[in-house]
Amino acid sequence: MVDAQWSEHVHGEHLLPPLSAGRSPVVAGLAAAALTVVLLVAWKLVSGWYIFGSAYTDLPGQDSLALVSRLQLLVFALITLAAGRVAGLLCPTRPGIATLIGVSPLLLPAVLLFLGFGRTLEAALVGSLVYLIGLLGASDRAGSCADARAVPCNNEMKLTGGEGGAHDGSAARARIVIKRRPQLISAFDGPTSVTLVRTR
Amino acid sequence: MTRAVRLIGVAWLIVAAYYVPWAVAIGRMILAGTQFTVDVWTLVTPFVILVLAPVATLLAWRKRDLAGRILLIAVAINWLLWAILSGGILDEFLWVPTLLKVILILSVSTVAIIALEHRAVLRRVA
Repeated sequence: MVDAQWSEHVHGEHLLPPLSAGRSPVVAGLAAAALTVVLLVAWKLVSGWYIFGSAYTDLPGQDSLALVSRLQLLVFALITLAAGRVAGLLCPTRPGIATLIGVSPLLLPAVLLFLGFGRTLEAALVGSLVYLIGLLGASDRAGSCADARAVPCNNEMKLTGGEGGAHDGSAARARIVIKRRPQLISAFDGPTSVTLVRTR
Repeated sequence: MTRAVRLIGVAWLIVAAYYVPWAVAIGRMILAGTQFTVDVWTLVTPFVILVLAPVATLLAWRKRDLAGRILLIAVAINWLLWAILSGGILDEFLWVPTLLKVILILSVSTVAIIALEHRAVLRRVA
């Protein structure tokens, strides 16, 4: 009941994800990976079409091929961000693993390509950057730090209704004591301890 | 971490990715002891972006929001100061490459958005 009330209150006012939401990280990661592959294929088709057309339409001094190759990094970053976002949405409890699987269609070719040329350092740098962009996408949960800070500083919230509420028909008042730092409230990635203390 | 700050983090990671080949090449030249004439600040700035932007992201991921924001602001202010004092970017703004213009706009927006958000959060808590 505490969870339900907490969930209702928090979802109503702070728009946090449900406590029990989410699929397994592997399923979420595979779904995100499928999206990554689709987006990569779409980008390949669009860029191929644009480059093919530009061979006939480019004016002197205009270089569409260079433009596409410059845009490629930005597009890859956006695809990674989208994949991480999907992974984080589908599996809010273990977004790190889901993101790793989700961005792997981009991560693995990039890393293997650099490793194949014997460039271990570049492989590590590019791999970590890709993963971090995915993680930033995955961390885009609705409950932000600013929302968490909106919780009163003494970590108390008033609830209405509730199990064993006041028998005179008036709303029961209660105090929630949160045993973690306010910054961590929005994450719901661990056993947040919530105690309901009736005050009236 | 708010959405705006997260997007700023992504943007700095993309900038860091653009700097990877340059940083690796310069790093190899330094290790090999090759002589070249570039001032130290110019040499250090891409490495600062390459190191601090991922660290800020990691801190944000670990819910260390304040530290992450401070690092992002440090990256932005370092780049701005370098561009103004050492790079001379403002003297010839129209002739600098597009990437540098993008980073200039990103630096200004990093400082502005994070400072404004921080002020808003402080007001809300108060």
